[in-house]
Amino acid sequence: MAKSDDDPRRFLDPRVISKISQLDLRAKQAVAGFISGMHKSPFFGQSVAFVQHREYVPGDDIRHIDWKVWSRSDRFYLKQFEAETNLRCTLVVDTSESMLYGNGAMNKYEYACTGAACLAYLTAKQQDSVGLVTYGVDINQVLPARSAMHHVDAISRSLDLSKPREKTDVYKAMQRIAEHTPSRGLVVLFSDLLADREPIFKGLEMLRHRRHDVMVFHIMDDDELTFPFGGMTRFEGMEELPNLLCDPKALREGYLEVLEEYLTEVRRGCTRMGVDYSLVRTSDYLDVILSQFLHKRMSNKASPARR
Amino acid sequence: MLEMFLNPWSMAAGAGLVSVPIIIHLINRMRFKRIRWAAMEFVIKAQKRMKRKLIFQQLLLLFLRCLMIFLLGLLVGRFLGLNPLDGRESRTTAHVVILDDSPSMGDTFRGEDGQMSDAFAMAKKVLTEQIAPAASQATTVQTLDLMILSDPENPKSFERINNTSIDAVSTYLNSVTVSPVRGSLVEALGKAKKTLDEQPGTEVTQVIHVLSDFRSVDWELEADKIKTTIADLTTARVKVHFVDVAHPYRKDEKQSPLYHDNISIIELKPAKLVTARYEPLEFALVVRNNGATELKDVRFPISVNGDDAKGLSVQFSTIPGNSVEKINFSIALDRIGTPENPLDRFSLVTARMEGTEPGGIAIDNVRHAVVEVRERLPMLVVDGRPADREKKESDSFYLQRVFSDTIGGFRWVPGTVRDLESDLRQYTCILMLNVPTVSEAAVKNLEAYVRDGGGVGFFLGPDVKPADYNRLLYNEGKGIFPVPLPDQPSDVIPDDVMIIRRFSPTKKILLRDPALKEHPAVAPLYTDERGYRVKSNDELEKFFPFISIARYWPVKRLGAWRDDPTVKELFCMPNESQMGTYDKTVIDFLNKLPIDEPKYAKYKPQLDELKTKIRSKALSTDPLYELAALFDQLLVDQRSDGRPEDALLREFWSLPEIGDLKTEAMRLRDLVKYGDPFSFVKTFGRGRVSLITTTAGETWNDWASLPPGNACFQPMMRELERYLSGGTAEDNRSVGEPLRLELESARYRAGVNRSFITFDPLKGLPQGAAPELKPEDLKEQVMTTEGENHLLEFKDSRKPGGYYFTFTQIKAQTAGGEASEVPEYVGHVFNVDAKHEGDLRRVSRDDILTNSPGAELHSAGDPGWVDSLKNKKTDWTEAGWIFLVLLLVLIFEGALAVKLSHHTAPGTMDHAAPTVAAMLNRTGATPAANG
Repeated sequence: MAKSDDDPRRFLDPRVISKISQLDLRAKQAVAGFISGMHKSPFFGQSVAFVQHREYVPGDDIRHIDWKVWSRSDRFYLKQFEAETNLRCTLVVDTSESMLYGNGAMNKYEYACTGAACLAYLTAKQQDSVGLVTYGVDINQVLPARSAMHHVDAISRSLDLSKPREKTDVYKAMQRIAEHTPSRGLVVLFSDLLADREPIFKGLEMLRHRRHDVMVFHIMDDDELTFPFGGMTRFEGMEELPNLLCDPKALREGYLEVLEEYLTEVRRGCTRMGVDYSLVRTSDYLDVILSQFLHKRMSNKASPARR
Repeated sequence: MLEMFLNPWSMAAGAGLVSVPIIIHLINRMRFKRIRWAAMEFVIKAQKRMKRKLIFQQLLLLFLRCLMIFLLGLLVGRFLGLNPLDGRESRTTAHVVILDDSPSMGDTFRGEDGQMSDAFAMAKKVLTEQIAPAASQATTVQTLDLMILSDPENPKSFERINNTSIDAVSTYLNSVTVSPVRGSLVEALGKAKKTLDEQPGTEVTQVIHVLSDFRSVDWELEADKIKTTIADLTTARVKVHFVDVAHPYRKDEKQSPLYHDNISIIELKPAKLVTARYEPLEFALVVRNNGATELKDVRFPISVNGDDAKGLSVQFSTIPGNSVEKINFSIALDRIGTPENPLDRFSLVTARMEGTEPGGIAIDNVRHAVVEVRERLPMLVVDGRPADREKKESDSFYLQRVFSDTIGGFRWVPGTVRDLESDLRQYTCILMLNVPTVSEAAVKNLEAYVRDGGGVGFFLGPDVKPADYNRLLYNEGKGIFPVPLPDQPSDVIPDDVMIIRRFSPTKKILLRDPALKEHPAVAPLYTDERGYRVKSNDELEKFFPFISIARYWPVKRLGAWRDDPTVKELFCMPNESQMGTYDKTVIDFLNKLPIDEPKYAKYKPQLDELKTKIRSKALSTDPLYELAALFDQLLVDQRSDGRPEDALLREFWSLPEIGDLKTEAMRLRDLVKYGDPFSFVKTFGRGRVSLITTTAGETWNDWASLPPGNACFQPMMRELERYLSGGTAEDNRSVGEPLRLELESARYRAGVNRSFITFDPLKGLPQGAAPELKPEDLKEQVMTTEGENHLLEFKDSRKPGGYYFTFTQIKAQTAGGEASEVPEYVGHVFNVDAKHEGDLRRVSRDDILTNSPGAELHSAGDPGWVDSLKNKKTDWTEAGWIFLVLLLVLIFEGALAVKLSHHTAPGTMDHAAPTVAAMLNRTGATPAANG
């Protein structure tokens, strides 16, 4: 359903974004739409290089008021510093065959790519460095973290070029990321996590062990969550799984129970390890991802101890 | 296999269709969508988890659908059961319908259409509109024989049942009406079985239908026979259907069906069958109200030969429900036979109920009596001393005065002992006065005369030879004489004693038992002209103290005759013994009275007083009758002076533990009160005999001669004659009952002319002058000869009325003359058996079914049972339960199908996957079904 013109979230509807073919444009569109809905900008980094004074406006953090100027001029001015890259964000995108499933505007892979691109753009815009890892059975592509805006284009192109087609091995991917990212940073995983839970948890555990902040965007299609099929159906398994002929309506209740067990297991596993876990479905607006990301950033700033 | 179905090919198709759900299931499995699916892990796990449950549910659903089609197949194929033939459907069925046409079938009622109808019309309707049409629908040959209950000998055969024969049955039944003859169901069932057995072919299914009203009285009388007969029929594999056609229709839930009220005249009995012209003849009219409602002021007009003017009208002021009322009336008949119309000697007296009954049967509201009227009634009197016949001392002197002068209508025929050997049937009665002895031929003749209804009165006297009497007439109880005589008459009583007795205030004749007041020999003495009991005995008995009986034949009270139920002692003489004879016995008895026991304290004052009186009396020299009076007072069982203490004494004697003492008291009272017997009566065959132990004249007593005691002589002699000549009047023949008469073949011709006369007021009373009733000629009947006798067996009494028989007697050749033929006339009346037929109570279902094992009882109001006669194969569609099973299967299948269609219930997601549900609620999006 199209939103009204006044609603800034209209840009975040996957159905709208899916019409934009280029991934970088998609990301710009999404992020622009997302930011325009904010009332304040908390996105200035911490730095030592002074840039300018700015007159205080209500809502600004009073910690940044330059009291010396106030003592002279009896006016409130804020001190603004040049932001510094203080974040290494690694976007990890699952390119297994199962990510190809999708019955809505985007399939899971497209949604993951769009989300990853948005985050890359957002991160780069804040002069943080962002990198990309795509994986299947093995690591497919690795783009090291850079903070330049043109790096976003590289990320977008890489995502565009990646085609999901094989099985997945999360543990292997995580191991590689851990090995190739010596300094701690933020690892954002886009995956449907349709694999054995044990290697997934092991991989995440490994990242956490290396003091990485880990965010998991668990992307599921609506169909996978609600299993709305009827009539005799042959489900042909992706990733070399067997086929099954059944009446999906008869199985729905059992399916939902198994799904619930799975989701619970994943959520609990992530929570146990201190991994930020978000279940996202492909019909969700992209602000889910962006707001989760920003929320994570802010909470990290608020509680530096975690770092 | 195919014979198990009415529509076997439909069942074959149905069997094929059973596979349809399986085929649909297989087709569904062949047609499927393909989806490339990522989350196979969940699907496979769900499949594993639900596999058993799903397979079970699916198989159950498949089974239910197959079962549903199977049941539908049974219904369409008309399944007959596993043993459908039972050896019947292929066989010819012979039906015999027994149509009850007894009078009770005329029980009228107002039908639902407002028209008056009766049970017989209903029976016809059941036959022609229910049984016959149903049987005609059968696929095998069905034959019908119709048997009328009153005439089971002549069943009517209608061969094969079809529309034509049903019309023929209707036409035939139009001419059949309710018969006055009461038929026997047992007999009819026997005949019906015989008729069935006569059917050609060996493989015949036999069915008997009984269309009747099933009255209680019929089943009570014949219960055992019916049970045996039905059991035999059931053993012989004859199916018996009872159809109750009486109104109100029998209902299953009502054990004892309702019945209509009805009034019946159950007796119209003249005192004697032969009477004298112009002499009042007493009739008894007995009416029974068979309903529960009391009836008031019911009038019964009596007509003589169809003429109400010659009769009278009697009225019952009330007839309580379920009771029998009797009334007496007298009519003097004036018509006697003439040479032209010899049968006019018989008068037909008809009683009918005035008005019409609201329900019930009408035929029992009319009853006839036939009385032969003669100018004078000949009475043969054999005097033991014929020479003294005209003298005052003779035995016949006073009797002749009574019957010739005081009472009119008799012809006094003085005879001798030899006359007893001639034809006695012409005499209304015979009096034997002090006859010394009789010849063996005379005894034989007398016995035949009495057996056929004649009456003989014996008066004893000094000339009687007791040995001959005992040998010939008593004959150890087998003869007509009631008791054996002692060797000697009583002793001569001295004059002084006679004088004392004459002036004693006691009755010289005592009724032996108060219950004897109901005996026909003395009942008229104690009732008024309407038949009601007179309250006081004094009218007659006040003269008894003035009779003086000097001698008599003291018949011993102990003897075999006491055990003979045909013999009754009516009167006796008082005990004239001395008080001292019994004082010890009486004192012993008084000592046994338990008056000192505390539990009898309330009776003590009365008992004490009487005990004292009796003791002092027993020890006195007073006459014995005074002691007897005190015993009467003590026992309070014969008379009551209305004293308040009588009730207490009655209560005392009714105590069960006093029973033995009471018996002893009564025996003692009888001992002191009653002396030797005075008179006896005996019934012998249809006739009656009386015996008075003393003389009829003044030889031994002054009963007939000396006033005022002789005032009771004339009424008692009148009753004696009435009793003796009224033997045949006891006959109460019902129509259809066979009549047997025996005549000497030497003296009668074999041919008998028969006539019938009746008057039917139910057909509408004539206006103006009564029409003259003419006898209908029933043609001559030839009697069969058995030994020396002709035997007349008359079975053709089909209607109520008078049946007259004219015999031809051959008179012996007289000197100088030729043998001549003299007609002799006998009249008999046949009536409807109102006693049984008028009682419309109906037998309960349990009684019918208990007494007729194997038979089925149906009601005319519920014709559903005739479907079984259609002989159609009864398939399961006729039983409701299969539809119920089908409905249950449908419901269960529907419920299971809905459950297995897995429509998403509102709470499914919350229940099964709360995480997903929470997410969906959070984002406000709803999943769109793809299926």
